[in-house]
Amino acid sequence: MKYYLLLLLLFSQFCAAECEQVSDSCAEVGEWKFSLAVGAGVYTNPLHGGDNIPLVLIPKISYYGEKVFFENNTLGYSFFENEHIVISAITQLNHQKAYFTRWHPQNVFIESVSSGITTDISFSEENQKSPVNVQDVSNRRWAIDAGAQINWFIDQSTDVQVQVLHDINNVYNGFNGQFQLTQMMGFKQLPDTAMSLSLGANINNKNLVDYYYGISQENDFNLEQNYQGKLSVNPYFRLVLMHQLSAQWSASFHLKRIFLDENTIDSPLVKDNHIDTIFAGVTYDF
Amino acid sequence: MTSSVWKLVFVLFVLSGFSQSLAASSTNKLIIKPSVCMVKRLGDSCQMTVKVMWHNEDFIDACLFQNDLRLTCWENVNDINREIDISLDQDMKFTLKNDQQIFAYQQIKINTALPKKYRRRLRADWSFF
Repeated sequence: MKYYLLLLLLFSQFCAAECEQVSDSCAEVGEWKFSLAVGAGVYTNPLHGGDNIPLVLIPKISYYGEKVFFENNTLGYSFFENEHIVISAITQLNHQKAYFTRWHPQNVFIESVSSGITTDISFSEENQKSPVNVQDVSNRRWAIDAGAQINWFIDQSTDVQVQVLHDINNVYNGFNGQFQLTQMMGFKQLPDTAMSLSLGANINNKNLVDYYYGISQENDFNLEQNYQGKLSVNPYFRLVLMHQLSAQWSASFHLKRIFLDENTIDSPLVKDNHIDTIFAGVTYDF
Repeated sequence: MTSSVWKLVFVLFVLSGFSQSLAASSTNKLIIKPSVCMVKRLGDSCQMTVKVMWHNEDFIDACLFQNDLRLTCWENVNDINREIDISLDQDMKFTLKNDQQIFAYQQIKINTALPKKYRRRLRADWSFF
């Protein structure tokens, strides 16, 4: 029981209306927070020839000021806040490029263990597209997105998050959005353990899908096929199980699966119809 | 007999020295009570009534300042014992002085009942993945 409140603090987006008590799952204003997760896991890559990203060491950093906040790859400014709603302007790195590179910025401490070149190419009866290896297409660039985020804290354990973003560095010149409903659960029999379940969807507009997953002979002149991306709605679920071991240490298990829209799967670059994130390990809070 | 006289002189000497140091310590010291004001959170304004006490052998003309703000003045006094209302939102220095010299000063501190402030976190630890 003694670590339960600390555990709540670690579940970032589940805090409800008030944040005046230490026991709330809230961030202390003006304080940087560092933690490092160590364990084993993988972030799968849905592309032909793309490397799965092993998850071994995952640094986490956050800062919350009166209005400004920084949480891993997101920088935000909250310009409206009441008991249940927070509206923020945010900017963050778009993760699509991660599938096209072996140097994932979120995993600077991790060495890729896959060969990077091998591709399991197979032709199926249903899918007549010719697979295209990620190494054979033109370089995709990192995009930086900016836009609005709305957090709706429905009650102590339920919240909704909505994002609408547009890239600001002229990469794909389009929109993407996210909707996520999260429910947090505690266990009376296991007071130091908590679980959260999120259901959501990533919405990538035509321009984004076309830039990252489209193929055109104009850009990829050595390829003989074309694919034009279309609006994709990729639903997902996420399960997080966390057990507080001590004031600094916690053990956690993360599972997330994104189900790719057919408008993305149909790209010759894409070999899987889903993206998984699986990780089990311990986290130390500095 | 001679020895007893010397002992008596020694005791008187020690006692006089002690009383002198006691007088020095209580003279010229500005005492403002209470010296700490509690607010709910940092940045909140604090209003309170404080008791200002000061004593000296010499009579002076002096004013009490809250940082650079003049609060009240006295003329030809050597003993001050008055209640005044003050307002502050940060630690402040209260000084008894006139144009020629500073007689004494004391710091009034602000303490917060809720020293740490929290806000809702807006992104998940694992939001990137």
